[in-house]
Amino acid sequence: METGMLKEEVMKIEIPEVMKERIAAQCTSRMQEGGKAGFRLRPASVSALFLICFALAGVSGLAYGKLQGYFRDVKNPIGAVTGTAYEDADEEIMISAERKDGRIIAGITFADKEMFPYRELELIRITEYELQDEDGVVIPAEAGDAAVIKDGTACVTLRADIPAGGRYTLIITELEGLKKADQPLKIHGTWECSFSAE
Amino acid sequence: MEKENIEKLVEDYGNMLFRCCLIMLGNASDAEDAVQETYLKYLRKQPALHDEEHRKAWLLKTAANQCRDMLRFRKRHPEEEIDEVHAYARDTQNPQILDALMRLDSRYRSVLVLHYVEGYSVHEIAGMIRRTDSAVKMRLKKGRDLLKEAYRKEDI
Repeated sequence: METGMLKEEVMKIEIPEVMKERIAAQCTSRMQEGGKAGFRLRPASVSALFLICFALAGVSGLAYGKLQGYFRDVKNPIGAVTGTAYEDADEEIMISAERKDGRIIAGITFADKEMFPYRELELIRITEYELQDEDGVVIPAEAGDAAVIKDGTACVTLRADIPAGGRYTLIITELEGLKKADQPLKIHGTWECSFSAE
Repeated sequence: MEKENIEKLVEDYGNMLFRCCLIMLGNASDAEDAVQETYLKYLRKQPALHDEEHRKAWLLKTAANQCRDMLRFRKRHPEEEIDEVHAYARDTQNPQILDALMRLDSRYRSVLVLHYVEGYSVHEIAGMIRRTDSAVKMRLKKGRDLLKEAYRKEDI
């Protein structure tokens, strides 16, 4: 299968005319709902809006665009639920990496160890990852066994044959959290960490 | 913005946005909502854009983020998603490719479409989906491998 075939087939997807008309009509209608001033807010309204926004920001404590994790059922092709995954955990987990005694030690730290699902986990392992050198070339690496989580932190070892000197980047896209007598929990996100191999 | 200008905006970019949103979300109703919200954000913010390419990239980035937010509340059957995509594709010669694409996780679908269909570079995609270049490269490679595997299974 060539990726050109993918483009050819995807480009055949078209938006129906009636949907285009509906979208245009909805957009026109909602923009006109802005009132007599059309699409512009009057200065007093703008000031009030800023005050409300600042107040809400203070109350919620959430920065604009903050990513929060969520659960998703994992289904097989016939629709049976085969497990659960936790998505968008990027900002809830921090990753560090260093080369030590010929191995790579990846540190995994939960931003809030009391938060569900992290407080339930006992072990964690790295299941999807890539090690790259400065030029972006992928270096073969093998993640070790699951590591015990202590106080919201765990250290997982990776074996990779990298010479001393140079900088490398460890990219992790999936972790697996484990708890006794429970199904493993796949945790998805994108974590990237650069380190020097001294 | 005049009604005629809104209609032109929808005419010019509707196919592109609907295609991406349908593939990411797997159903036409959600895709329509995502496209509409994307246009509304554009109309409200009226971003300062240099040219046509810049506008296209802005719209796709906004649509991708909109789809990502909507995916958090999704509970759909994968078979339903495949049927919906076929309903909007005309004269497909190789429907197994779309089937294979829709079997992938949406993380991979989005980068595959942005790169191989819409022609964006790794760096441009990284800016759109708020990831690093390395992470996008990894996702593209994995997505390609998974797509080939899924296509092989569909083709049997």
